[in-house]
Amino acid sequence: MSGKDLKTVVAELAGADPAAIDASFSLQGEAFSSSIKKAALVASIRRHLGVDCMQAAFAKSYGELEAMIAASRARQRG
Amino acid sequence: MPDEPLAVRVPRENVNDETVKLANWLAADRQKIRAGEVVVALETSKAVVEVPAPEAGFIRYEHPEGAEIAVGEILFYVVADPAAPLPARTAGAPSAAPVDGESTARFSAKARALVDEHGLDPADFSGRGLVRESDVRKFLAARGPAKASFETSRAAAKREPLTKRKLTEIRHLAAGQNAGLASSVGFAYSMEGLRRAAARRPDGGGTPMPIILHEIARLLRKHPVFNAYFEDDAVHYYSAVNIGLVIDAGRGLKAPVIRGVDEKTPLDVAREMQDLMLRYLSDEIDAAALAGGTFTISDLTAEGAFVVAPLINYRQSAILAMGVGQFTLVFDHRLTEGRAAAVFLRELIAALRRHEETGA
Repeated sequence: MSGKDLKTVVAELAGADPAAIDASFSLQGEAFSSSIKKAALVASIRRHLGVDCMQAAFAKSYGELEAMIAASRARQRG
Repeated sequence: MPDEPLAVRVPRENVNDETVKLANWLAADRQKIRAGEVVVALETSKAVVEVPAPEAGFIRYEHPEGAEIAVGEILFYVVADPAAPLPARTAGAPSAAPVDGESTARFSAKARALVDEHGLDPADFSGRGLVRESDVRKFLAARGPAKASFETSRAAAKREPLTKRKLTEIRHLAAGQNAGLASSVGFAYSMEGLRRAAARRPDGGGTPMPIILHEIARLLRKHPVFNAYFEDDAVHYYSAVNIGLVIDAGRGLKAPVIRGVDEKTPLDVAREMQDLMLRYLSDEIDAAALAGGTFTISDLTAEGAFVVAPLINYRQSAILAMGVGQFTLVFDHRLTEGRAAAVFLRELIAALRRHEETGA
């Protein structure tokens, strides 16, 4: 894990300022329109947060993504 | 073959690098190679550069993999006799011209303008040092009036050098086309059903490509002629199934390889694909990630392309092209025929349709 948080991971891939990422930030816009970006998001979460969350590619918003990551973390611990 | 050992030196690919790293030898020491065949991959500060042999012969290494080598230092020799001793390293050893497609000559402004005006190849002035306007005019005169009039009768064109990345891509693809007999077979197939089936399995990555790779790997074991290459009048069958995925999304055209696909589950393949996409977007794809492919897939459905005719990669015998509503298998006709390609594609599509129905 690199110590990057989820906001930084999303911001880097979206080309956005992490401060602009809130729960309503859309993951369906142009920044994440390609399958390559979605795949990179899942890989980046795995690399930097240590969470294996394949469903992350389907998150529609940052808030939804946070919830998915939390659920995956709970499953990994359980 | 060269009359005496031909030294090929490390090219200068960008002004900031004084050394490069020898990433991979792509031909064995003392191996017989063809002119234009890519023999080594170098890592510069900005890209992986592949260096071809300027002439046919046998290659003799000068450095091991991983070595840091100064720009301009001898990288390898091309020799006629692989057993003969190499010359002692001297500054005067005969060298091939830099293999980056540019001339060693320097041009005055007027000379350069004349070269561009007449559509001349700067490489024609290699080794001359400073080329002046008078040198270019003498060159034009020596070619004779008929050719000169042909040159001046062409429409004017602005010369723009290709990027190093594109030149490397050209050399690599050209090496795969040398004397090849590419043919193709296409079948109608829409991936919409497979995409819906994959989307019902978000825990599996949610995309159809891992399923497609899994089935292709299985079929490559069943039809090994598509996991092979032609060389020296023989078919060479690979022992592994390593599939390259063509990616072109703003960081150049690359085909990173997933190794041992037939030994991995679709979920493992999905994870590895995701990692490769991240590495591609992060400019982390190195020579090692691009080497060792035995088969390649090119997916242009996202661009809306119907018919795709990709080029077979170096030392491979086939490439699968995925367009909207059509799969096409481009194959080397020196090794197999259209019927075999049709059987392969038909079996692939049948397998994918089973996945659509079962969602597995």
